Amino acid sequence: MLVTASCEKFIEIDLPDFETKFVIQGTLEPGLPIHIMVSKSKDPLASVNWVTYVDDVFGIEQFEIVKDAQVEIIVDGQKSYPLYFEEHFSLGGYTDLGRYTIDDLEIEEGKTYELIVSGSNLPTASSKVVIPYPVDINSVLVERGRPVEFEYFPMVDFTLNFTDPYENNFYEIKAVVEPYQYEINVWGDTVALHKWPQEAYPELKNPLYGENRGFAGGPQSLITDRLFNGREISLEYYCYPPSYAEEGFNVRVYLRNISEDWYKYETTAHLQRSNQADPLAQPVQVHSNIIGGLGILKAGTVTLYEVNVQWEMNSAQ
Amino acid sequence: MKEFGGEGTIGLLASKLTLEGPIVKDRTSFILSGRRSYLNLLQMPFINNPLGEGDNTGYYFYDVNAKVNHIINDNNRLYLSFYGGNDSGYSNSSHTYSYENLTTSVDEETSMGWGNVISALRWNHVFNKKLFANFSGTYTKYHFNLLNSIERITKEEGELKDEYYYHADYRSGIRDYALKADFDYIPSISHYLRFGASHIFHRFTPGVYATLLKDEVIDRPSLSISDSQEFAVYVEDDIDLSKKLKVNLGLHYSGFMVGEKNYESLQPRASARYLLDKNSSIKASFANMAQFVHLLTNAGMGLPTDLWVPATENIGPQESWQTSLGYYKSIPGGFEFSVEGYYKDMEGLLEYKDGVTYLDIEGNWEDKVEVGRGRSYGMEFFLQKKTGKTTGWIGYTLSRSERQFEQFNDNEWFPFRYDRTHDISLTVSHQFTDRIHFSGTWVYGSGNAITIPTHTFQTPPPNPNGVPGLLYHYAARNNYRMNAYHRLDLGVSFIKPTRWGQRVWNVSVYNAYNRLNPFYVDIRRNYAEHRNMFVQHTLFPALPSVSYGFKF
Repeated sequence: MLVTASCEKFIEIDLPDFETKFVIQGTLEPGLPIHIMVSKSKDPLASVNWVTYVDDVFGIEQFEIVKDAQVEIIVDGQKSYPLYFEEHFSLGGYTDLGRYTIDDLEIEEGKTYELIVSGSNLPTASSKVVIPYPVDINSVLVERGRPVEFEYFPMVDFTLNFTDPYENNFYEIKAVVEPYQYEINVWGDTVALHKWPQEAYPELKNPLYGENRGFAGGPQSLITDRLFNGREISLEYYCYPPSYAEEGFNVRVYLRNISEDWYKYETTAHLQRSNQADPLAQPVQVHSNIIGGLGILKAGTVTLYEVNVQWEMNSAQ
Repeated sequence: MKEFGGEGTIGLLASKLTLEGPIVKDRTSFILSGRRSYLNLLQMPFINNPLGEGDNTGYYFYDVNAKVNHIINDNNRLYLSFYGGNDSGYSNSSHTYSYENLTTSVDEETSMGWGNVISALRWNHVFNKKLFANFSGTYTKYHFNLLNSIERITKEEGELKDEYYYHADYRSGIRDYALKADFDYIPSISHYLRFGASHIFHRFTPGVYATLLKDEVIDRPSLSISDSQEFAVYVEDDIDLSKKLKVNLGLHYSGFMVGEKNYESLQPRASARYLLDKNSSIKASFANMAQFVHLLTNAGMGLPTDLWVPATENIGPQESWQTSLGYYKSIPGGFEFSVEGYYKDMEGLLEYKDGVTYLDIEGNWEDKVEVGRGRSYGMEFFLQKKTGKTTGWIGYTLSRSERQFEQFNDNEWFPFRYDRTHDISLTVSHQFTDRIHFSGTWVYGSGNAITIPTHTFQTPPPNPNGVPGLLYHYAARNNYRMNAYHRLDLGVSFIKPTRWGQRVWNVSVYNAYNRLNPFYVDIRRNYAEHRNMFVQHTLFPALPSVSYGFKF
């Protein structure tokens, strides 16, 4: 009985030594500001309660934002450009995150950019990307889709047509619907006509081309060109209509030619998020192109096609 | 065949009984034995848990063995045998924690069981002095099941604030119905031929079910059933080429039929032994093999959710080749020494894809795996003493077993979950006197390789204006080694002849230095201290025992 009294169910054990690393979330795109967010990684056992109320505004307090790193970009292995920290930068639900950026450097397709982040007593992290060339959109055809209960408009079906270059390409497709709505003052007078862009969450009609990730996966569709490499392709999508539009709406389709690292990061990150509720799910290695650190440096080039749609609104149901 | 006898043991941890004797004297005999452990019943009042009360943990096993031998005549014998055994481990816990206004109750149920049934009817027939055969029909059944269920409810001043439920049920079953014919033919003193054929009907029932909804547990989907047939034909010959050189050449042909698909494999095998002198020899071998059953192991932490699955119309068999070279020597004093190196290359291995979950997803296991390759290599050292008052052996294996899959881990080699870099076994028996025997065993094995996160980091939200994200970084697949497994078992037997036979008092201790060996690891929330912990689950501490044995 003495022996059985010593039975223990489990014991706590130590993980291997943890070493903090830079976490880089950066994007380089022609025509857009350079955008590099730098934070610190944490121990995997850390209790991260990552949403708190700060003066009625969601804020991040658990992951430390690095504000004093030395961040530079080297273009085509030749000239180095130091980046500065922009304190008051917000991104969607993030506020006051800050980012590293630079004013006088334009990102150009075909060029190689190397990012180096050092300092803060952390191992230096770096990444090198080549900016993809833009892929022109030949056409976007918009049609009425299936009716949606309690909505003024049916689903928006659109067909995106473009010619894929030879070589392995990866794409992010987004759609924005931009209804025109009148602004009414307190006396009921129309004072202005505004456009209200809304993410439309496009989904492929043929999932052979790529996975539909639903609302949780974000408003982008990610595909590769393995089924149509070097050919003209028409991809059929459907997306959500605007909730209300008084003078029609625009449908803007973004075709972003992205780096393979970008594609792999997004697909693996989405897969890991999808399975975090299952303790017996297989672990997912999230792809990273950061040497000596974590995260991703994305490279892409976007083309845009806009179609104006004049549909009559359905009766309210 | 001649007289009735038996032996048995009654102990603190387990008991066993064996009876044997003639049914028809000199013609038909039987042997019947059974064992059962009851540790789970004894330990129930004494289990404690560092996080609180409300635990019920236990383990038990039982098995039954029966055999009937019948001599028809000098050239014909019949053997009927049956084995049935079952192991079961379970752990139920129920805890409640309070923090400020919040009260959290956690109920967890885990159980794991496996068992085998093997029954066989064999007819041994002697054709003549040079040729004899065994014809057998067998039925085998294997099952493994693992259940993990967690329910967590948080209330604030009696009002429900948060609720979480998870249920996972893994089942692996194989039933085989087989017919075999094996022939031994000795045409001359320098040839010994073996040849034969077999046919097996397989029924696989791998099934996994997982849900986050308590209501769905009541109505579980049925298991997937896969039927297939396997046949094999083989021939091999032991050839004495000279006094020093002996070779074995063989050819094995097997086929596997499942659905509309037929797999076939021709597998040559060869081995040779060369006598350097009367006390030492060198051996070498080469073999091609095919295996139509896969073992699917999970890469992450947590319970070992191994699943045995068959080759299917979409998933082919494993194929491998192996070569070995060894040196063997008899040393004066009754010692035997050997050292052998081997290398094995494998194709068609299966691993779960990254992110595979059985949670609310349609589709079966075939959609959740990738196919890759593997390699194993190592050296085995073995020293044995067979004679004298002190006997025993020590074996050490240094090895690596690795996998490579194009679709994950950046196509880099990674260790197989059950890669065991160091494996040591030491057994010693000593006869102090005719009536006092001592035995000791020590085993050591490197820990299993599992995948654990090394960092956590923030990410922008996938949706604009959405909630920020948190991801875990895994440096590589199977990047972490669980603690090594090692254990010392000691026993002393006091033997005394009696009028009716023999009695033995045995005092032993399993796991003499109370090593808390790992069963599995996972991350647990310590609600009392509000932090996460990396914990190792163990099964058995030191278990002393006393047993009384008898033989008549």
